[in-house]
Amino acid sequence: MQNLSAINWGRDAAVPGYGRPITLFVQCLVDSLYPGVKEAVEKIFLRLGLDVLCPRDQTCCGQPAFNAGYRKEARNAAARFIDIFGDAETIVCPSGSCVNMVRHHYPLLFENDPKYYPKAIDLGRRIFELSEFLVDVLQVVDLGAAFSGRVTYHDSCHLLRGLSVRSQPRRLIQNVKGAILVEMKDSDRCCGFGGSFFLKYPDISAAMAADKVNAVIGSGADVVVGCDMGCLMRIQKHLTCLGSGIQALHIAQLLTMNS
Amino acid sequence: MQPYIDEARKAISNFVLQAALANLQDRLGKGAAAAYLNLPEGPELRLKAHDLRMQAINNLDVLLETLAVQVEKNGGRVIFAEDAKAAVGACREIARKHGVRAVVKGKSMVTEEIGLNASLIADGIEVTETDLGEYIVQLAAEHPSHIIAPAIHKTRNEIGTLFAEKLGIPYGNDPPTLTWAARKALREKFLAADMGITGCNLACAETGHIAILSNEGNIRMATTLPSVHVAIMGMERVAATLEDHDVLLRLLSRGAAGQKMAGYVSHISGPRRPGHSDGSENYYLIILDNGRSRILADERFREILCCIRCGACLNVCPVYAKIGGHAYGSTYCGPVGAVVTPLLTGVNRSRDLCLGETLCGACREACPVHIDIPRMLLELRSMLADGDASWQVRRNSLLEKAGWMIWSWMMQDRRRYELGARLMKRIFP
Amino acid sequence: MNPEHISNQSTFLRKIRTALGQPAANGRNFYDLFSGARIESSVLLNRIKSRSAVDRKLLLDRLIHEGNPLNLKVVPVPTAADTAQAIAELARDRSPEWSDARSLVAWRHPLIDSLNLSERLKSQGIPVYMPDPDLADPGLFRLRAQTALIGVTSADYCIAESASLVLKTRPGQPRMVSLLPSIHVAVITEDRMIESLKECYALVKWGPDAEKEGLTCCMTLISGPSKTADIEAVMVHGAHGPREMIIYVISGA
Repeated sequence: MQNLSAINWGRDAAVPGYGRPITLFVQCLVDSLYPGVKEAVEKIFLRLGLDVLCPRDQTCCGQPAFNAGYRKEARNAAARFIDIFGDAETIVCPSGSCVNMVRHHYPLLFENDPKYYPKAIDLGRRIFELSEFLVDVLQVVDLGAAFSGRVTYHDSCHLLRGLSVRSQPRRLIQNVKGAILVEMKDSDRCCGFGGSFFLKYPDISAAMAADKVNAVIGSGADVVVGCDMGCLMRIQKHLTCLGSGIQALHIAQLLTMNS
Repeated sequence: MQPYIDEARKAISNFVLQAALANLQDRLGKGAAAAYLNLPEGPELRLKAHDLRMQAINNLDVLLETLAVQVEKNGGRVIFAEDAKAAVGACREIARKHGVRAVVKGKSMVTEEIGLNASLIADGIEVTETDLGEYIVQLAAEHPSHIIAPAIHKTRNEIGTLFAEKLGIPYGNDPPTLTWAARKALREKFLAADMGITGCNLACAETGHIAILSNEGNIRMATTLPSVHVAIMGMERVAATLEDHDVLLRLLSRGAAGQKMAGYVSHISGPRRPGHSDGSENYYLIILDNGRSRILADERFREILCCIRCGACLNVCPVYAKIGGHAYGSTYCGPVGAVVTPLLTGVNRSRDLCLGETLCGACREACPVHIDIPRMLLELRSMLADGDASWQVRRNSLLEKAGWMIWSWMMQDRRRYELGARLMKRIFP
Repeated sequence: MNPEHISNQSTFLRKIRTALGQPAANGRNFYDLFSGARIESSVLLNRIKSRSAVDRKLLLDRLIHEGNPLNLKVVPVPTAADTAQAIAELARDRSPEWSDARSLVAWRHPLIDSLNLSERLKSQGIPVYMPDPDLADPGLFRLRAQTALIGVTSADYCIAESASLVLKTRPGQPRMVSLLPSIHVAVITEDRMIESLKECYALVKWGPDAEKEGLTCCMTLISGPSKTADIEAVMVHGAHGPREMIIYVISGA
């Protein structure tokens, strides 16, 4: 589609979010363990000439508590999230599962709260996962990145089935100069992370991860890319355990590669 | 007390089972997805089917009343059984009344649920499972591990040995030979049986027919040859009209095995008519509650009653593929089992079923009637987290609750959160 | 109905109503809630009625195509005589499974009567049995069906979309003929072809025979020979029903 250098990312763009600052929701996992991913996301928006705001006070969207069944605790975190991000024009997050949480579960969490319910609904319309924002909202698929090698892609569950994002990351990968997209067997099969599932049911989780990693290796790829660090964290761990040199990268990291 | 984890471990290290489950999911899971695409209406038909089922469930009293009137008009007898004891009692009474010595059974989860076989056998009645997979599992004195393929966990060698021992035939291990040995053995049973017991895939309220599906032909045998036919159905397995059947049977066949239509569909409304040479002479339909009305009463969980027991969710679930059916420790396994079993038998005692999934959503995507299983698993987890009076659920773990309360407190402040992040780094270096 | 039976039903339904938050039926009745299909059905019935011979030929092609992966053989034949010939050859070629001698059982049905199978197979020494109209010895026909090599039926309809035969049950047309023998042969005329299950139900519910007959006490859909893949997922034909199935479609010359 449109090349970075040809586009005018000025204030006159029609789609909401164009030209206006992007507010970044980093995700707790990235914030605490993978700052490199945050940097990559910021770099992407810098290249696109978009201002990025990153609320210093942000913490967690509440998903871990919600998935574990602790709704009151999840609601507390979610209310704070709404307070911090509620006025942002556009929020982008490098995690599909977090965006799914806000869009699909915040309305449920606040269904009996007349103050926060409308805010939750509204926020759901203004929050995007990174690849969906780039491709669907900004309509950019080429960020000028380059990587020589075979890339396989893992479809994270909430991104795929919750947000229906399937083609967008693939298009971004295919437009990385030198990259060859190779599909793995059952790319849409769960990797076994599942939030606290991998802690509570480690044997089952490990068995699922083993299948995923076999598929990654079987694809012949040099790197495996995804849009959720939770998945990638587990996949990398198992790849490393097997002695495989395959790297698990967040899509933001691939999109800022230049070699 | 962790049968789920122990059974899961056993299943994971059973390479034969793992290969069988992987193969099954590859074939049936993908087959169903492809089959939804070949629907003339497109895969969106599943959403219409969801609405049909919900409308039926929301008016279940009207449908069951209509169904009962029609069945009785057709010469059948309807028995409303409020629980397993009542259903088993009714069945035993029918058997006693008609002097039944030998029963042939079609595959029916509901009869497993109520423990029917054991009671009939205790009455001195011979009970033979006739679905090949169920027959194998019965001979081996085991439990089925999948709704559609009950013997998926057994190898041809194991079955060969089993048949040699139980049927007195020379050992053989190729599937055709084994299948035809069972064909011969079971034919004798069909011809000699006094009573056929089947489940019901879907009853039709307006005509009073029940539709029962199979590929083997055992259901046809069990409902054509013996003089008594008892059909047992979960009360939710009823649709209003034949037009609904058109939608639901086409989806059921696709969800179960990627077929456009099951090999055999019998629409049965009652006993044989004057001038007929076969069919039962006495037909009974037992409609079972056994905890379903309690599920019906809770709007969070009412949706699970839409399930038509096709097994599509088992055919895509990545957790089920690792742990197999026995880990669920109950009649209903897989994603649907993870919701239905806690609600029918107790949430606390089934807590691993509520917690032991990743909520990946593959089941919802595969379900022919688009049931949101992950949503209900989340509700069950919420009940376990904080307890629930209406379902008599105790809080699962005070320690865990305290942990999450601390977490919540930490998330309210950036500095506390950063402290937590540093802790995380220690745990996950 | 005995009194206990009635009280069981009302207790049972009351429990459901309570669960639904509906103390009584509340004016909800079946007819108001669920009958809305009349218009769509008359459209379907018209479509079926006005189907041309060319369209039905297309349906036949579709049937053949859909039947293939199911191991369902569909043989278009010009006349009844050709059909009878084919059945005679089939009987000669196949080995009996359930007895030493070959025999056939068949429905009493005008189309099958026109095949004159008894005469045809007399020269091969193969008896053809039909149900006794008086049902004098009920067990006898069953014994014959049990040991027969081939069961010959017709069908009410044949659904192209799923390669399914639709068989109602009537006197002289028992279910066991399509169930007990080793081979099921169905003989239909081309005008029995319909497109879908939807059309089948529309005909059964709203068509000319609906009032008189409906589905009958047992209406069976048959889509190919009996099969199972319960042992190591290997497909085997001939579990508990016929292991082979053939449909002869007479184009009617």
